[in-house]
Amino acid sequence: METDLAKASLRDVANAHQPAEWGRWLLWAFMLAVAAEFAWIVARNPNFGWPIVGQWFTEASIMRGLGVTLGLTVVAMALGTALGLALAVARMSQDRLFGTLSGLFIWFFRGTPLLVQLIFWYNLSTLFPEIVLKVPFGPVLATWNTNDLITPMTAAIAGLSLNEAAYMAEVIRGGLLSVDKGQVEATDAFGMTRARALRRVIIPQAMRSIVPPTGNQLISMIKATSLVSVIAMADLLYSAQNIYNRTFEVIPMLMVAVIWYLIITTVLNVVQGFIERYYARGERGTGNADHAPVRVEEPA
Amino acid sequence: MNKAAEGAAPMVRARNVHKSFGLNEVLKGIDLDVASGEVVVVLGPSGSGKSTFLRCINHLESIRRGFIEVDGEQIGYALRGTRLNRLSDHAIAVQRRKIGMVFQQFNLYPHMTALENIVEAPIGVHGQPRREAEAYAMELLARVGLTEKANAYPRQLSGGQQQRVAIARALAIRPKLMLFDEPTSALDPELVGEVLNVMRDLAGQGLTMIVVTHEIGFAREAADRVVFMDGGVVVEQGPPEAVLGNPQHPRTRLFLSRFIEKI
Repeated sequence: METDLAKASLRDVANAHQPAEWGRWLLWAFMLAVAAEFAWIVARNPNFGWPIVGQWFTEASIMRGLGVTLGLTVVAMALGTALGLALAVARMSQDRLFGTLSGLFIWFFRGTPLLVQLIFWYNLSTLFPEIVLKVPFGPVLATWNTNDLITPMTAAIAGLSLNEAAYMAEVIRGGLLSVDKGQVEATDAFGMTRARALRRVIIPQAMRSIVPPTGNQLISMIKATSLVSVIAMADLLYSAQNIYNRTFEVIPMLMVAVIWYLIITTVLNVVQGFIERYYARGERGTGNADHAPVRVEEPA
Repeated sequence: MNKAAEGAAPMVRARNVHKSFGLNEVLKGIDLDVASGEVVVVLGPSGSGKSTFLRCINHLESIRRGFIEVDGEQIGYALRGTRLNRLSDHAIAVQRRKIGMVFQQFNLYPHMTALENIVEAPIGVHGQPRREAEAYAMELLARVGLTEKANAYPRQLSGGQQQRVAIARALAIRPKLMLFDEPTSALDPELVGEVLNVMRDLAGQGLTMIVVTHEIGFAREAADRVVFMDGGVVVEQGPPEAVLGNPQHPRTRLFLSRFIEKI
């Protein structure tokens, strides 16, 4: 009996030890050594031209290019998301007309290469020299010269945001579909208008599944903006190319661009983490309810 | 028959209500009046159409034939002269604002605290000032015994507590009619009592209630009238002591016999 009890106290898991995992330590050490040597090789390789990278890293035209890349990304993403939300809601509505229009839009803009879309927007004036606002088969209300409307900037914004809208529409639709049907029923039963139900109840819950793919879209967008160099928009990559066309320092200038892209992406990843935690509220025990049974999270 | 016969216009008037899902006709001509202040408990086996009928009353489901009137207004349609027009979504939303509903799965908004859940419709739909709505919400939370859970998220509450918050949320719009769709069916057995207690209190306070449930005990104690449905029709109805104590129809007897050990 006595010995049994002693054994029982020895078996108490509160006193358990984690055996050292030498294999894992060894693997870590090996991987760190490989990484360190690789970093050392890259740093010492004169072909990367690190002094030249440092010299051009914050040069004025690079900074302007960075500004254009960030500005285009923000504007195209904002317009694309707003239009994408409208498209998603239209596509999910009972209304045949709006549903069909939205479906056609998504079909076209997802189905053609972004590069081609950008070139089309930029050369719109060769297809339609004039843009006219009129009643179908009726009187003309207003006329614009296409060349006055389409600059590299407007062509880039139109191309990027319309393309983005098609993708965001599907991202948002997926999020809206993930919300429990009972939630829609509750808003209906309480006499909420469709718009208010979306804004207050449906979208906040859909955000949990919208945010991660949107982060993905945003990061794709930052790099997709480099396509606008074909229509002579001086974005980050285009500015770097401009410089190496003169100095022939191709690799160092590309490294300048690459490092900036990585910096932006890193910042966005951090921001995305914060946003995801915000929309997870109510999901974890984040409230200040006392003694509330909180779902215990498995340690990763 | 009870208060339905005494008063003026009934709170709910359903006539010859038919409803189908595809080829499956689930409601085959329901006639039912509910008087103001009356507590009607609808019993019946699963698939009898009782939940569907309840959801037709606030137009969560549309009906195929017949009509439903709440508080003197036809739900979902309006008569213009001799022409019956379907109402717009917005007009239907307005009609629903005097009807409170409690769901089997609670359907609380998970990203809002209990208090936020309760004040959402009063502030956003009925345009009440926040301070006033919150004061009334706290009063309602006290009534359902959850004052200290005002800032808890639904996930942090037990099923019974969630359903009591859901009842408070439905009461917050000061409804003329309350619909309960199997409010205790999703609860663990030991949590059923706390929800039924709250509903019993409400029944005693003159609120018009239609309760779809399997709780025979609740029907016996709190109902003014018990309606027994089966196969999409009302088989039998009357005071609880008559329908439960001395059922006339064989189908009612069969249904009740399965609950004998529970009573």
